Amino acid sequence: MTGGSRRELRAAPKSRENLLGYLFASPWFIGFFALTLGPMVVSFLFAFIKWDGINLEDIKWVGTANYARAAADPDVRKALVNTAYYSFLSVPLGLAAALGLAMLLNQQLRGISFFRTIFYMPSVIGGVATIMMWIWVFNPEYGLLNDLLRGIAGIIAKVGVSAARTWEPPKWLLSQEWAIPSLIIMSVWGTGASMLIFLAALQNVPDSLYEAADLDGAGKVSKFIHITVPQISPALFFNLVMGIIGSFQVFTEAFLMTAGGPNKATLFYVLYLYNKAFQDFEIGYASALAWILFIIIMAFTLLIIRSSKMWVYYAGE
Amino acid sequence: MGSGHTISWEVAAWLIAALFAIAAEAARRLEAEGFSRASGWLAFGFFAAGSLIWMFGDTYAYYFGQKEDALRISYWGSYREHEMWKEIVAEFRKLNPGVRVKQEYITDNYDGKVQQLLMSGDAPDVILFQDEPFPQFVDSRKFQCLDDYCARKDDGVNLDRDYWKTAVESFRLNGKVYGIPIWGGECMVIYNRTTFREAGVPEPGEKWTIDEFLDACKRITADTDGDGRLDRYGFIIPGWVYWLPFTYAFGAEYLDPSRTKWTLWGPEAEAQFTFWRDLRYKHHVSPFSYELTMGGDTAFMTNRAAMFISGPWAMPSLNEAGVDFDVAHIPSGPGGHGTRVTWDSLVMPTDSRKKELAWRFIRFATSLPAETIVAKYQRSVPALKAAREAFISVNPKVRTRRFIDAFEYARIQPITVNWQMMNREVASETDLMLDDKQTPRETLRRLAENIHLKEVFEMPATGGEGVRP
Repeated sequence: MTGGSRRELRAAPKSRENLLGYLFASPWFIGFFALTLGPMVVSFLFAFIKWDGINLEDIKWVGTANYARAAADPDVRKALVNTAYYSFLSVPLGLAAALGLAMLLNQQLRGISFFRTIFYMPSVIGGVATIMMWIWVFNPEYGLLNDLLRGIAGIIAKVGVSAARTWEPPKWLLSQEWAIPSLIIMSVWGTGASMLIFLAALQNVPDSLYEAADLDGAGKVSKFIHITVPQISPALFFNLVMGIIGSFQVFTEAFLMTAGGPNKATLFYVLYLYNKAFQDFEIGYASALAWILFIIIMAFTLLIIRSSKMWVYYAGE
Repeated sequence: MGSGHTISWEVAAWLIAALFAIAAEAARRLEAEGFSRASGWLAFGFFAAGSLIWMFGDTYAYYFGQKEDALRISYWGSYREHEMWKEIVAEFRKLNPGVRVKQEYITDNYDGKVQQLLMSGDAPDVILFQDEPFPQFVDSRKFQCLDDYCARKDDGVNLDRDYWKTAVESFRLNGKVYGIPIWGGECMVIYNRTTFREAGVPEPGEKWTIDEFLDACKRITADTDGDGRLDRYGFIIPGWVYWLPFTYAFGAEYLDPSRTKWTLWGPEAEAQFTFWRDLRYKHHVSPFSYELTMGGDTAFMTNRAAMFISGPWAMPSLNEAGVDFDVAHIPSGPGGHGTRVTWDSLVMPTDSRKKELAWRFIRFATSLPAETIVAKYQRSVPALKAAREAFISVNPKVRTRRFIDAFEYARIQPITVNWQMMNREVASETDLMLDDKQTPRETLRRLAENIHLKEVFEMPATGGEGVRP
């Protein structure tokens, strides 16, 4: 490098800064282009082919046949209904639980950090260990949940309600009717991350607003509806969008706990997609299914974003 | 990144990066700004270089570098089976001291990983492969046809003479051999001798019928502590694949011999479904899964269940746990005698670069010295007939000879390229029936009208609701 060019570099700190910025961000760029965007483009193309995923020579162009097949496939409809059922119940329930917990943990109490840690912990201890624990909790015969329900039924029976004597608690994961509700209940276990976001949002609500409302004689419910909710609406919006995206991609629970059963009651969309791609080796069809899911999630996300103008309040606006 | 010299390159780069980072920090504290900055950049450079080697070294070595000289073999299984492979490889190396063998022990999602390796042209030279996904993979023309190798004069093999018939048939598709069978086994009745003794029920003899089986189940099932709940059950209900022996015993079949036509229709099919369901709902000799605290295995080991259906692969853990168990034949029924047999084989990918060496290993691993090691581990029945006595003599406490005797009536399960889909659909419908949500007859009809099965098999005319199967 010549002395002149060295001076040029020194004279242009902005471009050097930019270069450094790109350099440090390069692992992310490489990751995004090689591991996210690249596979997305490839899967878009795969959606128009028929291929077993083993021999590249067997690739056949089928046009939009995979999409037509998905439209006629009853299992796709079943998987979509199951996923929507799970999503539309688990997301509001998760949001309500997270907000409720955040409000409880927003108190100025001794040892509140301990409680915050305890309630956040399930989000840290994820994966298979948690799932094994919930399989036990939901065991119809020996599970914690049914033991509790039987205990309650026993108390009610003692009070004189004879129906409680013969009442049998649900079979949870082994029952077609209760399998998805079981997974919804389980999903509340992992609300720690949303709770943390709500907690941060709650702590940013200015006390002056509550003080002014107190002077006006507002009650607790009124303050919650007219001050707390609008003030934390950006956090609510964020958690809602992430919740919808996450819940439409629900997979691990069904894969490990029910394998889609009983009788496809927990056949979620991504599980069906996985079966098609990695059990039946129908890579083209699975890619088409992935793009259909992408469009559905995108549509819901856009809908929420458009509606956000009506209910999300940003202090700077 | 994989094994070999490249590991030391990336680790070395990271270590140098760490040293420069320390130097940069030390210089910064000593206010030697120029040296600190230079050391920082060098640390960053070495770190980046190490990371690049780590990420792309294998790919570079694969396409541009020196090819790996070891023979690669892949297999799945328990740790015990891994030990068995080590022994087989050690014996092979005694005969071939100059050959390096790299064992690729894949513990999870075996078929998926093999699929990806085959697709990328980087599959191991010898692959242990199961019969169930076999047709699907052969269909993709990634497995080498072994007919020419078998026909060789010096190191060929006479499969039909030396190996069990069903083992050879499992890996011969359209008249061509694609895999040399190594081991397998049939589904048999595994029974707990202690439970039989405690219940005062005589152990099954060489032959027994479905009625005798049911009678034993009824006599064993009991509420032993008088708390109103059953504590001991006769039989653990299996899934549909392990129920196949009973399907055959009732004279029913899922597919015709050409495996293109659905034949699970008619009174025999209904009778076997009814019997399956009745074990739980009518005779109460089989528990619901949730009534078994820790699953069927534990119930069996703790004398809470007397019988279950499994293959030789159930024996190692039972032996290890010290359970007093034995093996009984599948009871015969109105359709005679039948059971399901499943086999594994060794295959060679078409793009292996070491086909001669791979064949040498396959021949060794399926010959008597290696099959004797297989027999010793008792995980499976060796596919080589000559290893029969070695398998029988390992554990005189268990009548393992019955696995050999059962080859007479064993059948290959109805495997096709659509096996996985068929497995899911049948499991889903039979689960419904075993959950008392639909009758056996409804189950047969729903299967015959199943949209996915209809796409690939010729289905029977169900003729509406009122028609009896």
